[in-house]
Amino acid sequence: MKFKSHEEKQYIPRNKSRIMFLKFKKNKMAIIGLIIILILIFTGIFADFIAPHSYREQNLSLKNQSPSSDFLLGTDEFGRCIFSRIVYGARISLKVGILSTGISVLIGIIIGSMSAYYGGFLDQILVVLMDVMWAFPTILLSLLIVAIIGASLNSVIIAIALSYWVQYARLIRGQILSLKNELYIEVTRSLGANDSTILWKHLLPNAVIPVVVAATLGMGSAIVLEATLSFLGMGAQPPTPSWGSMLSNARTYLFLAPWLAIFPGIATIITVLGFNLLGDGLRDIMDIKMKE
Amino acid sequence: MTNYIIRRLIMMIPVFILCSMIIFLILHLVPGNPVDNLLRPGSPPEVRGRLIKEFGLDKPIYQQYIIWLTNVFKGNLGVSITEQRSVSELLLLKLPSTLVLGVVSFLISFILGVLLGAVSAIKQNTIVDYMGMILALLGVTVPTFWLGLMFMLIFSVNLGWFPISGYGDLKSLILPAFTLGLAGAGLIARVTRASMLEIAQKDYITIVRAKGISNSQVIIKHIFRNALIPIITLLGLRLGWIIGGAVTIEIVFNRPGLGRLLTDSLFRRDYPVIQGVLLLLIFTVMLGNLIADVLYAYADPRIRYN
Amino acid sequence: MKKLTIYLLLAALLIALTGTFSLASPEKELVFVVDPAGKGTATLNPLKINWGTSALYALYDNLIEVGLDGKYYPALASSWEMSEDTLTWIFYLKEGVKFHDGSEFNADIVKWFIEEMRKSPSDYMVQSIKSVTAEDHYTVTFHMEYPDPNLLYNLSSVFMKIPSKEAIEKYGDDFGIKYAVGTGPFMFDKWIMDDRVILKKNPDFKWGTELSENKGPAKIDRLVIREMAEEVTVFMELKSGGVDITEGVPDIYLEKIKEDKNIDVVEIPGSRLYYLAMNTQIEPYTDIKVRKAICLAINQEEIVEHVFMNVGKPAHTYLVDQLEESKVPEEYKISFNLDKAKELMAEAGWKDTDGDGILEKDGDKFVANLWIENTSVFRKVAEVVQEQLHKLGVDAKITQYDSITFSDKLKKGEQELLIRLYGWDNADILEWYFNSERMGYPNVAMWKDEKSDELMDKAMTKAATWEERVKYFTDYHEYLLAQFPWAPIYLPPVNFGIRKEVIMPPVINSKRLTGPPILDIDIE
Repeated sequence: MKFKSHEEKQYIPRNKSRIMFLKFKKNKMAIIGLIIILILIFTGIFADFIAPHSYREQNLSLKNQSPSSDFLLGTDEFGRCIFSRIVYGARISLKVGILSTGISVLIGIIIGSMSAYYGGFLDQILVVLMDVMWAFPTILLSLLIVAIIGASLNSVIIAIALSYWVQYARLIRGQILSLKNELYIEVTRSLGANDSTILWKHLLPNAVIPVVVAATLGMGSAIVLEATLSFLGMGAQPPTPSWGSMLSNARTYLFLAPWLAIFPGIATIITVLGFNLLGDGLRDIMDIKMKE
Repeated sequence: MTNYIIRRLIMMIPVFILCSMIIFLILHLVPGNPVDNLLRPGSPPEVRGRLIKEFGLDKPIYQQYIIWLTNVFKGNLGVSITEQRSVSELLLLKLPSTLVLGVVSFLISFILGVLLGAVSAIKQNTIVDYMGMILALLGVTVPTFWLGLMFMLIFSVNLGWFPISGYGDLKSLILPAFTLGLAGAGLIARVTRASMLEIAQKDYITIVRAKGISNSQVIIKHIFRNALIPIITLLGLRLGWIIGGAVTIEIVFNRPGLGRLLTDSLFRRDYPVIQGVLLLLIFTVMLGNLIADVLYAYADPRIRYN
Repeated sequence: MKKLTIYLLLAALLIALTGTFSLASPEKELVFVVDPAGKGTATLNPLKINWGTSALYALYDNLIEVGLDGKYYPALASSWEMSEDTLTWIFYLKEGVKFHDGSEFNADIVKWFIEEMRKSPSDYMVQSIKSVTAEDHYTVTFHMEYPDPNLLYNLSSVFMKIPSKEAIEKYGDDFGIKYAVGTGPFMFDKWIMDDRVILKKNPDFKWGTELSENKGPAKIDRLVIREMAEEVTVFMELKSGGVDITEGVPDIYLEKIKEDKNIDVVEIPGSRLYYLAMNTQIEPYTDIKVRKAICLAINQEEIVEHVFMNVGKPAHTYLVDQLEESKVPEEYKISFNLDKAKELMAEAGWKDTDGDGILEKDGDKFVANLWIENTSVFRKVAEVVQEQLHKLGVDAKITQYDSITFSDKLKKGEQELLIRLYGWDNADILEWYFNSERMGYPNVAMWKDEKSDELMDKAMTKAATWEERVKYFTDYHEYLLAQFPWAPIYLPPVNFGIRKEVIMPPVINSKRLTGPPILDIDIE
């Protein structure tokens, strides 16, 4: 329960980004998170060079082998190298995290800003819509959406995007509402700026930081949701090495080959941990209050 | 307050109807016809058409919706297509199991979460705090179903302490309840810690301290009590989440319940059952939100709803 | 207020807990787990069922029983005869048979039952019966609309188990849910949906069939039939002794179970068949050479060995192997021959010109969509098939659907390749899958062929006796095999995992353990 030092506060208006960088450097957790994510990205890009084996080639005589020097993390029920599949799986998780969060942030920005900026009847309708969507547990909503459009990696991405946009929309709406009546916006308006200029040039950029923080955390949740959907058999199709579908297969072998379940799970946890640490760190640095 | 609650309850009706409309539409967009599950080799080709008619699935969708909605307001949720029972009967059958799981894991979340959060806040920036927060972070990070699998592997397969599945006795409840409870505990611990630290910085706490009241008194009587407000809100908001989480847990641990009923019916396109379960879930979520707001007002005398 | 909340929560918890109390174990209890792959119990009223479940076999009896040998045995009918012109059947009923509610089983009940069947989902099973007359108290005559050699099969099926008329009239819609009354060796006690059906011994039972040694009351007092959704659960419970008999031992655990001294594995022939179907209406599967090549590229033995751990048999025809119609000459059987398959592909104009391992024709690569249901077994089979087709030079892409979406997709006829499974032990399954009137679903191969329909019609309607029916269906089966619309893959057996405490009869004569064999089963 310490007080913040006064020097720090004084610098903020002068050089905001530099201060943030300095703060970031001090935040060990955030740095660990960033490193994890960088490793993940590196693994995803260079999977072909990192993975010792193919992710799809089967070798049925070597099935369900426990970890060894040939197969670092053992083999699965088709004799495929689990380490290699996890390495390739990094790509899938990144793709899911980035694309689904990107789409849902985009939807969130459009709906949230329209709702907040125009207000009135449109706002009321959109708020009811958001309330309705908010009432659905995300897992069930995405399950329904995948059921409609058919199970595949792309449908999972769409389903996650459509299940998560509400949180961003609410965030944007809240941010814009609080900024809308601030003095400088009034001034800009009186200087003759039109709606879209005010929205795009003045309101959204100021609302962007909390969204970046929320999206970083959101990527973690998106990856978990993908794993859960794949686990329920509603995700990526074989032989796609998605961590979730690896876990789904592993369930039957829990007794015979527990490593099938352990390692993809750990990979998922480390990745999600990376996004959460970075997100938490960013939030502390930017000093943003957000509802969990 | 009573007026406020009544107004909120009335407000729930339009949202409820809108929800039901969306559910109905989405469900009928999902490809597949429930009667296909009832056909078998040997039955002549015309049987299918007859079944479709019998369940009223040949009518245009808006008519099906109106018929269904009127029945819902009469208290009739319809009859399952594959189970030969009324939907309300099915819901009543499955509710106890999910309720038990929900309530117990809710308590686990609350007790563990608040304890962990409070200890971390009191011992801020010590090793205890760091460990506690890493644990809490893991709680929010680890996928629930995976945690369930690992618990099964450790406690059922290797140690043999608990049955791997089942339903009915206390022993079979422990693993699923802890799995679901731990995930929630992480979140609650984080909120508890954050809100305790925030309150500790408030001016009135400084004043209370200045009065010479002992540190433990300050923490328990002033900081902790006030920090409970956001936690209670969070608990209300988590009602729906618990049931959503129960879906995967019920599948992992093979427990009959609303979650299993929902996914099974979804795979069978048993429309009346899916609609019934989803409406019940949404009702629970909305009720949870309302309870959270009311408790919030009760706990914080400054808030008054009019 | 705060205390009140806690009390309320505790009260709710207590109420919920008492609703789920555990059950006290009585004298001799046998816990039987049904196959996790099967469908759960929806109702215990045989007149309403859409699929059979184990409890029905213990609760009710048929007029006729079918043995594991495929022969028909007297059950509630002690004997029967068919007239020369095959249009009249006389059934002589067993005397002294009583339902669990005390009402009597007699000729009037059979007459009532056939009329009730006409209102059931299985009405087609009695379509060939014009009318039923009760000659005397224990004799009934069926007057047929047309010859139906399949009548005995229908009468012995789970869909024609006979419930108590009195109970059905008394309980109405509650029959099958809260009450179930039949003539079987076990009586209804309790049903916890999706979890267990509890049955208790019928002490008055004394009309067992030739299929069991013991004709009198069952040796065990209670029969608990449990449903479990997960294979791993079934395995764990069997190992720990939580259950006595499991139907369908998970293949991957079979080795572990065989090692276990406390568990025996009993295997009886199953009635399921895995197959790969091709859409014969679209390119390139319109070409019989391509179809044949794909059929020959499937290595059934490899799948049996690696996916199913050598449990069960490779399938080489479209019917399960205990059916007489499946016994076709060697040249009709479809077996693995990769070299021949590659040759056929080349003849059909498919060659790997760019050396990437995938065949091309007119610049198009051989890419096939392979559809399966989203269960782990199908996924395993499909992934191996995917590799086997890859060796032929076919790039198969797997898509999984849940079962209902799958049948809906099939109805649209857009499928290319798909792997499915059926469970049926009558040759009329060929009509279900290859009748051109059922295109898309269930005719997943989109098979439309005049000659085939002609043979089908002959087999379905023209036979007067069982022998004739077998002959006609064998002809139809051979014709289909030579056209290669399907590649047969695998015949799983039914495995029972049985704890040592259970005393089994020396021979099991029925496919359903909860049927006649349950009378002989005892427990230490």
